[in-house]
Formats: sequence, structure tokens, C-alpha cells
Amino acid sequence: MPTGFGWDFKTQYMKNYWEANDWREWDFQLVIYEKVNDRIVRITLNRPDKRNAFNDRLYEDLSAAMHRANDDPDVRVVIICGAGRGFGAGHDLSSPEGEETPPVHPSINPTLQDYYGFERRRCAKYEDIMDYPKITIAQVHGKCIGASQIFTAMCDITICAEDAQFGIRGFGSQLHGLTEWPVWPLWSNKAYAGRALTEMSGAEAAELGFANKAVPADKLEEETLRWAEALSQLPSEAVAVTKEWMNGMLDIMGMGGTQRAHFHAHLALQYVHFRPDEVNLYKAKKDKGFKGFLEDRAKTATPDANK
Amino acid sequence: MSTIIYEKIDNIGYVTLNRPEELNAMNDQMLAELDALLPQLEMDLEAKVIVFRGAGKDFCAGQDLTGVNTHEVLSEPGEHLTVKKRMEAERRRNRRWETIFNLAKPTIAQVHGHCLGTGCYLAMVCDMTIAAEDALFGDPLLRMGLLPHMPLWLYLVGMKRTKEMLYTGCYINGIEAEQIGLVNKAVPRDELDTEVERLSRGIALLPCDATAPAKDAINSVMEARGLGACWRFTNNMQLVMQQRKMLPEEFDFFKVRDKQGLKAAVEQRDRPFKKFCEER
Amino acid sequence: MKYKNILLKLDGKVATITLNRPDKLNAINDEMLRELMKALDKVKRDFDSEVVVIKGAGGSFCTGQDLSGEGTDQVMPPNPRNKNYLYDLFATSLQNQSVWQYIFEFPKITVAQVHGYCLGMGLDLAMACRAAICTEDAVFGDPSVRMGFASPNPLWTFRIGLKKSKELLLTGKYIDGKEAERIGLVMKAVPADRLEDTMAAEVEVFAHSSGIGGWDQQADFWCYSMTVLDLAGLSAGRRMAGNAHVLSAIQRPGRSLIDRGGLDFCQARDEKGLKAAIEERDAPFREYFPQPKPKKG
Repeated sequence: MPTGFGWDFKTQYMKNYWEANDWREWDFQLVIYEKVNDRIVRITLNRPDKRNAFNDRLYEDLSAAMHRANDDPDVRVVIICGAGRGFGAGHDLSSPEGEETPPVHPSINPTLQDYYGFERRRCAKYEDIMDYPKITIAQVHGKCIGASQIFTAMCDITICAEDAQFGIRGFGSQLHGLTEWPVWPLWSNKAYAGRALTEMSGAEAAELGFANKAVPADKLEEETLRWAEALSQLPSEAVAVTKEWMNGMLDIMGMGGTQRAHFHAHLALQYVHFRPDEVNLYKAKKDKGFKGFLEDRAKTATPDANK
Repeated sequence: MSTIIYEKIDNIGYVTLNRPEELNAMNDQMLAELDALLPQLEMDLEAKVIVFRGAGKDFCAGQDLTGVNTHEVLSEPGEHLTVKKRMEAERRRNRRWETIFNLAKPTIAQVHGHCLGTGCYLAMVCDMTIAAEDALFGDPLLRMGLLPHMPLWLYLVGMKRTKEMLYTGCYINGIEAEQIGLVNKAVPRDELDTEVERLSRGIALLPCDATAPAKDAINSVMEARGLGACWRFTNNMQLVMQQRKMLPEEFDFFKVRDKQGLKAAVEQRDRPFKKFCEER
Repeated sequence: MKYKNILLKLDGKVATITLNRPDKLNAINDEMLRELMKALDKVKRDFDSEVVVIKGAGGSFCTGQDLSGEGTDQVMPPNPRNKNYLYDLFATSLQNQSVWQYIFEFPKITVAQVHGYCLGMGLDLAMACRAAICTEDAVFGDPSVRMGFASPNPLWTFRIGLKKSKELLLTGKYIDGKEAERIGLVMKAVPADRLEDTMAAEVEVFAHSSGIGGWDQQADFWCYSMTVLDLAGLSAGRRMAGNAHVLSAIQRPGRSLIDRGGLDFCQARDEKGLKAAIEERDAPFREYFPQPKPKKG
């Protein structure tokens, strides 16, 4: 379907109504789908060479896997974890043009209409995770940044390694809006001000309520399974209704609007104008490639006063 | 014998749940007496602050699950009720908590022992909760396929912790309850009475014309934050829950209770989660 | 511009606004509030500024509204013994709501540096800053209820949660910096001799907070955050709390707490002086709520 971008979007999904979509015959390339037992599925994001960064294929695989788990009447709990050194590095910023998952480069010059469609599809992904009718547990080790962090915020339960890292220097933890919601109270000085700019360790995340439990990294899988086994005892219809109730209340409390407001924030980002003393990272990526971009980003990264 | 005792001492109104043999579990009689008392609590200008507490060893273990004289407490699966009657019943049940939440004077929950289910809801809708360190808070309703119908969970402890508490149904003690924002303060059991007395005497110094709008300002913000809509939404979701299909292999609390007794039913309800909760 | 009640310093990325009525413990009157707004406006338009430190001269951050009643038509409700019109109270309330909304939403990064007392409207100011850092012996509180007022500040439950908000606002009690840190009212509480260093280090972090998208990204996400909060009910809450405040303040003798045994603060102040009136307000509560004091020296 032609767009102002000049290419066809591969991923035409809209809101991912979990019963309604056609992911049933799917060949998993970038995730591993595993039935731990009748009631528990473990989905592993399997792109370790790219630190499990989301590209279109990874996201589609994940959706298909979650669909499969939802269609399986015995399954009650879905665990999501990452292969390799970390849970996920967010959207793949090195993806080639034509991919929908990384931010769109302003030089492509899309119309606002294109942008809205793109953003709606992108942000709907997060809402879909929240709406999943079965229990989701994010099992987090290593780095969990950007979109990956939002993903864990949308899951019911997050179990993490004590030394996991949520957020990253130069990108922050509380800049997404959606990732603020699990932290409570919503604008506690402990949570917002202290975390706006620096990473949040797994231990800190558990203390702030962003994650439910933090354990030593070597105990992570075992702890996650403990939770999954306990929660898989709950009656499945009761869980679906309870979850709908809680999410409904979150919508009433403003979270639904937050998802939408997220679009505006993202779209405005396309028009960022750098100050004279700042490093222009779009330019860096263009001139020096992805590696050069990472080097320049590290240079501008926030010094951390806490550590 | 009254299941609720009200006494006023030095401008402090004490509401004592009084079914200590049943851990102060709420049955129809207790709810009726509570309903009759609520207007009185507000109208009595000499009672500057209200303290809710429990007789005996516990605050309140929640709904009376015996099924005897509990029609007002909860609608059991298998009851043939029209949607209209269900809605009215759910409205009344939530209205009770909403009314206490909005009582135009400060309320304090003094919690020791078990504080579960609707007992926990009572503590949550009070303005302040002071707990013994070894008090036990929890909401095991989901294990029985019942909706844990208290919207304040999300407002008090946030998304992740709410899901944790309601899915696991685990009990937490007063210390952890303080850490997560469920209660104001946890104190050693033998200091509970003095702590609550100190707090209530201090508040009782304040004129009601001052505390009423002061409380209203905060509750109004909560209303603006969606709490009002959440009460109603919760009622509606109760009805959805009551329509759920139970799978043949799923644990049917009420059937087991009818056949084997309440004790057995509770034991079987909690058994699958026992190890997990102990190892938390 | 020459300010009488504040000091403004612009210095590269960091601006500093100092509340400057130290002999009055930086109590806020109408003129100080106006000057604060003017100073903030100047900072907003200063391209280089990115962080604004707000602090107090002398021994305290700010003890709140100037309770002397002089030059306080905006910041204090009128004496209940005057024949007050609802119109005036509501008009002032609407104006105050927009002032405090402006401060909270300020597009540069505001950080409160708190030592000594931080009470009433002073606490509102600290809470309206994005972050607050204090000394361990700083003293926080809002004694409004002891004077018969509801607080119009909607931020309480967002900052410290429902239970703690009610505890502090329904007792009017004071807490120290350590407790403030524990409940999330401030980011950090440090020994007094470490306050300046800690502020400098944290301000440095804030001044480089932009991340990969630069200052524009920060501005974008800040506005998004304000939207998120309004979607969560903050704006409506500000109005609701403002209206409850007016209701509490419109009560007049013959029909108010004053007749039913409550403290007539204005009368106590006029008869015995401000200090005695404050003592009369707080003394009865000390038996029940220990009242911390900032350390001397």
C-alpha cells in the first residue's frame, strides 16, 4: 500500500485483538516458543547478536507466539525473556529503511498522515500487551531499554535480576510516560526525580514497584518459574475478567489516554532541533554510521551523580 | 448480641467489629448493623474521629464464607438472580465502602491479626491505617473465582503490586504493608493501642469544620483521578465475573464447602499457593 | 529588574532564584509571589538556562504564607470577620490555580534546595518543583487544617500516596528531612554540610538530562508528562481541591469552626501577636505529634 514514505509497510496490523488475528500458521525465526508444562509457555526473544532489539520480524514473531499461547486452552501463564546478555535493547536503531520498528528518519519526509498511522500501529503494540487475556511475566536480566522497558511495564508481573539495568544513560528511564505508570506513587520524588536521567537497577526497580521481585541473576529463571507455577493455578476465566477489570480501571485513571498522548510525543521528536552545544545524533548516525552514533551518544550521556 | 459495638470516648468514636469467634467475618447481620450505624457516625458532631477495630485476635478475616446468612455479603455461584438484582446487590456492596471512604470526618483503621478480603477493604477505605507489625493483609478472592472488588488497590500500591497481591493472594505483614503504601505505620503489637490513641486524640483536637473540607480536598482529587468511575466500573465487572464458565477440572470452592465443610474448602483453596507464599 | 523579595542569578545552564525575606523566614506575600513569577518568566526566556534552583536565604527555605496578613490578599484567604464575598474568594482561587499550575509545569528543570522550615505554601512550592533535595533536619509540614483550611494543592497524592497525604493533611503535623526522603516527598536528605555539594552534583546531572534528542527532546517529553498527569486527573483535581479550600475559607463567625471551639487565628494574631498565635495553633498537638525542629547553627 503506497504511502508518503515511498515504500509499503510490511506490518499492517492494527489493534491486535487477540482472538481475531491470523497468526496461526507461523514460522518462528526470531523467538523460541517453549511449553514448560501444559500451563506455562516461555517465549524467548532470540536475537542475541542484536541484543534482542525489536525489528519488524521479531515483533511479528512475538505476536504470533503470544497468539499461539492464547489459542492453547491449557496455557494460563506466558513468560517472556531474552536470549543472550540482556532482555532487550529497545527498537533496533540500526534497522534498514523500510522497517517500521525503529524511529523514522526525518530525511524521509513523511506526511503527518503517514506518521499518525505509523505511530498508531507502533503504540498499539504496547496496549496489546497490556490487554493480553492471560497472565504475562517478564523475566528480565541485563539491559532492558526503551521499547523493551515499556514492554515489561505492560506485563502483569516483572521478575528481574538484581543487577539488571532498566533505562540507559543518555536515554533515561522515565522519559516514556508509559514506563512511569508502574512506579507508584506516580510522581514520587524518589521515583521521578531520582530516576529521570539515570539507569535503574533491578534491585531499585523492585523497591520502587516497577518490578515485583529482584533476585541474584543465577536464581532468575527458577524464581520466575516459581511465580508462573503458582499463578497457573488460578481459574483462567477469572483471570481474564480480573485483568480486564484492572486494565479498565487503569484506562479510567488515564492510562488509555497516555497511550495516545505517546503518539504526539513521538511525532514531535521527528522535528527535534539541536542546540549549538549539543551533539546532533541524527547527523552522527548519517555521517559515521551506527557505531559512530553510539560513541557520540556515550559522550553526551548523563554523568551520574548517584554512583 | 450485637455484631458491631459503638462507643464514644473523649470525642473518639470506636466501631468494634464483634464476632471474635469467627475472626469478625462479615455476615448479613454485621452489614445491617454497619449500615444502620454509618449515618449516626457522621451526624454525631461530638465524635471527631472514628476508629474501626476488631474484637478478639483479629481485625476482620473478610466475608463470612459459611453461606449461612450471607446473601448481602456476596452472591454465590449457583444463585438464580436476575441481572437487575445482581446489579443492585453489587451497587450496595460497593456503596458501603464508598460511603465509609467519603465519611465527612477522619477515620482510622486499627489493625491486628487477620485483615483479609472485605476486612482489608475496610482498612483501605479508612483515611489512615495503623497496623501491628505482625498483622496479616491479603485478598485471596481470586482463588475462589471471585473478583477482588476494591478499586483502591491500584491507587494505594500501583499496577505491579496490585497484580501481585491479587493474583498470588499471598498475605503480607504490617511491615511490608507500610513499605508498599497500604498502611501508614506498623508498630509492635503491644504498642498498637497507644499509637492509635495518640493519633486519634491529636486529630480529635481539630474542629469538624476544618477536617471535613480538608478530607474532602484529598478525596475530591481521588474522584478526579477516576475513583468515582472505578467504583461503578467495579460493580459492573462483578457481574461479568459472575457469568464466567468454570472448567471441569477447576477448583469449585462453594461445591467443596457444601460437601466437605468450610475448613476443608479453605484448605483446598489455599493449598496450591501455600508453598509459594511461604517462600516469598 | 530590581527585586525586593527574591534574588535571581543567571549563570549559563543554571539559574538560581533565592527567596529573600530571611528576617521573615522567607514567608510568601503577594509581592514575593509576583516577583517569583516574573523571575521564572525571565528564566524561561533565557536561552542558556536549563535548570532553576529555588532556595531560601537565611535559616529556612520558606515557612509558607505570610501569616501577618500584610500584603497577602492573594496568598491568604481574608479574615473571616470581614464580610467577605464568595466572588472574591473564587476569583482569587482561580488566579492561584493558574499560578501554581504555571510553576508546576514550568518548562525548565526546577529543583528545590530545602533547609530549615518548609511549611504550608513553602511546601507547595517545593512540591511543585520537579525535584527536591533537603537537609536531614529540614522540617516539612502543612498546618492548614489547624487553621481551618483545606489545602488547594492537588499534588499530595501524586507525590506521597493517599495514606500519607491524609496523615499529614488531617493532622497538620511536621516531619523531618529523613522521613521526607523515606516517603518520597524529597529525592534526597543529606547532612547540612553536604547540601551544597549534593545540589551541585545533582544539578549537573539535570543540566545534562537531555539524552540523545537534546533539549528539544526533553521539552517534548516534559509536555507529554504534563499531559499524562492531566489525563490522570491532576487538572480537575486542582479545581476540586481549590473549591474545597474556598469552602473552608468562607466560613464566618456565627457559622463556623470559630464558634464551635476552633482557633480564630486572625483574632489571636491581632490580640497577641503572630508568634503567640502560631504557638497557640501548634502547642496543643505536640503531645500527640512530636514536632521536629531544624538544628541550630
